[in-house]
Amino acid sequence: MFNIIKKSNYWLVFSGILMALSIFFIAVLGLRWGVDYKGGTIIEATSADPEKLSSIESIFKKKEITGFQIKQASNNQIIIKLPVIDNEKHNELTSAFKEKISDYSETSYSSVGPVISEDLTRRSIMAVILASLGIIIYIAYAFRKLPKPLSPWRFGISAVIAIIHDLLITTGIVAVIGYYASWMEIDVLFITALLTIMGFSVHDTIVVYDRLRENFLHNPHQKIEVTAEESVNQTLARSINTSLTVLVVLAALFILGGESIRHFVLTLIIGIAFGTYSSIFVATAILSKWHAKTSR
Amino acid sequence: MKKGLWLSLSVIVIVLAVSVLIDLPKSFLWGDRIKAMLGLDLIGGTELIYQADLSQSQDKIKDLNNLSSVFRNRVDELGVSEPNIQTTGNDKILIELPGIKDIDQAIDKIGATYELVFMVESTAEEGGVQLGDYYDPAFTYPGYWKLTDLTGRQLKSADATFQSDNQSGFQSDAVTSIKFDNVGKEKFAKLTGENLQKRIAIVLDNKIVSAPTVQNEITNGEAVITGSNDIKEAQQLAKRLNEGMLPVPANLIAQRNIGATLGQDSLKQSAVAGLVGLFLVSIFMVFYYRTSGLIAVIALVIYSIITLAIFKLIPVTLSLAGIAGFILSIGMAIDANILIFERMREELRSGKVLNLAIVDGFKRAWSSVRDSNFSSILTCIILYYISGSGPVRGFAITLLIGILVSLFTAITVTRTILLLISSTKLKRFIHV
Repeated sequence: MFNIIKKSNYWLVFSGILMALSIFFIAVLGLRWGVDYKGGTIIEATSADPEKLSSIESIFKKKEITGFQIKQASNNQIIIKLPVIDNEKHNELTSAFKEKISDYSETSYSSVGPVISEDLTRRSIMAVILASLGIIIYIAYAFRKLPKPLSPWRFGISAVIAIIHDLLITTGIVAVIGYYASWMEIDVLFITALLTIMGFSVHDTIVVYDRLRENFLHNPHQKIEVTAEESVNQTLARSINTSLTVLVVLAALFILGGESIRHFVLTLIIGIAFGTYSSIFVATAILSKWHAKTSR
Repeated sequence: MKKGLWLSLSVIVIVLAVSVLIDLPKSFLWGDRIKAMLGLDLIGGTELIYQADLSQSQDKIKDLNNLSSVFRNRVDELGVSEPNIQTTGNDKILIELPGIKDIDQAIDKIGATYELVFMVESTAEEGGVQLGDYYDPAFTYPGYWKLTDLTGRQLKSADATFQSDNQSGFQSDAVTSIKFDNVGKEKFAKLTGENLQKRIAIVLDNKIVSAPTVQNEITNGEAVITGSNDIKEAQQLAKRLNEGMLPVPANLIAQRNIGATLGQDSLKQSAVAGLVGLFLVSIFMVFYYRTSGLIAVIALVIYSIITLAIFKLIPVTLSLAGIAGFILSIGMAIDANILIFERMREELRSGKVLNLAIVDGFKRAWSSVRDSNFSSILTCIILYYISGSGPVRGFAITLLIGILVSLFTAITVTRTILLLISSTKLKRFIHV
């Protein structure tokens, strides 16, 4: 048996440091907001001649357009970022590019106005809040028949603390990666990833909780720390194996899948790894400490 | 006990057989009518989002739906196969046009309002303008004209009819009759009252359709436009007027265009990634749980076949995010089996015989499988309703279906196969 709950102070301090670091990185480095949230225009285009692609910058300068960003994505592909433009401007730019680069071809174009991005931000925040509330209520309901002194609300709240831990650390790491890699953008898929991580984290936590409940019913007079330690150890193989299989699938998707979902998959990998960690080292640890304190 | 097992086995086989038939690209039963729907990011195309200005609207839901059906009519004229037009949020309409490359042409066609205005006589000195004739643009209509405050916005409907001659009762000329809404009715009454014995021009897209002389004040909010050569022309005019009226003003607030090659590449990459992921998970399961692991892998293959069939049946539009959701659900499907096998190991360790260990392993693991999956289902449902549309919704629906199917396969399928084998001589091959 591993002494996981016994040494929970170490894990909680470790998690606390990670969370503090995450807040620090998010505040200092900031997040790389994508077009979905910020509003703006993205043009992806190709040409066989990479030399000519670099001449696009001069077109922007000549047209006195500011606030643009040009990035060479691969040898014959570039990504141009602009503030929101209207169709006339878009046409004008396209014909100017075509004039200079004969085989210029636009592979994707998107332009998102501020209305959409505000709407999206509102929906995303709503989704996270609603999902958190739903999870607390669901856990409290699923574990409602717990005998005293166990409290179903403490189960729910500990699980949500673990979720906040996972989401915060994931976002912190994304902020660091985003600082260096331009593809790590905050878009709709990022929010989707966060919500999936929430689901997974609770999924893992509930498996441990379920075992804790069973062991407690079996032996109600045992100290809660001991019961928690047993439960965590009994479910450890399952927790690790489950995460491994999911991470294997995600790793395949990360390495072989398309570039457009790479940030999404990486966010999931980070979040699911921490979600597994937190279900054992954070949620159960807090739950056990909380009950141990009040029963004394 | 055994009878029940054979029954569930036959259910599994039937469901599987039907799913395989649906999954085949072409079936002898329904040809290729059941098709996989692929999202814009995979096949390429154009996405437009319009926001309706509902500030003046009396019945917002009705106006938004009307706007959406006007858009639908126009999209149909573009000749797009399988377009998707849906209202999202309180005031937005999402239009997806697979295969459409020319975004500007689409916007021109869909978002255009044929501007209908009513003009009164004026003079050149007063700043009046000269306009062409609607039926013959080269011909300049006599007279100078100026704008009034009556426009197509106040138009309620337009219809082509025959004008009946009051005296003889004969139906003669084909005309287009128009009706104004309440605001329009008042404005039209005022306009006709102020311009008795003068002409009022009906101007569509800056061209004069007709300019009848006002005989008396019209207070019922109805008018006829004469000048069409036949009923067909009158019908066309009515159609243009009807279409030209967006029930409420709409603004284009977002647009996307995705090239087809980009989508094809992503589709291939995701498919390869999914297969590799499935293969790696299989190796892990067989290595770690041996024969039971192998049975779980079989259940996983059955799971994939059934899920894909459901995607095609509903149909779920598969976007890149949706495929990611599906691949992710493969990982989750295996979780239920891992939970159960770990439990079976414990039961075996406590000295139970194989058969009992299997039954108890499934029974004891069920509450954690159920509770944990339910929380994921809850998240999916919240995602589905809040997202409104787009990739998040696709992700939520594929993951949701995946979880539901996985509960069936990981539990029913694995359990049935395991118990069937353990009741035969092959029992000694079962390892957990």
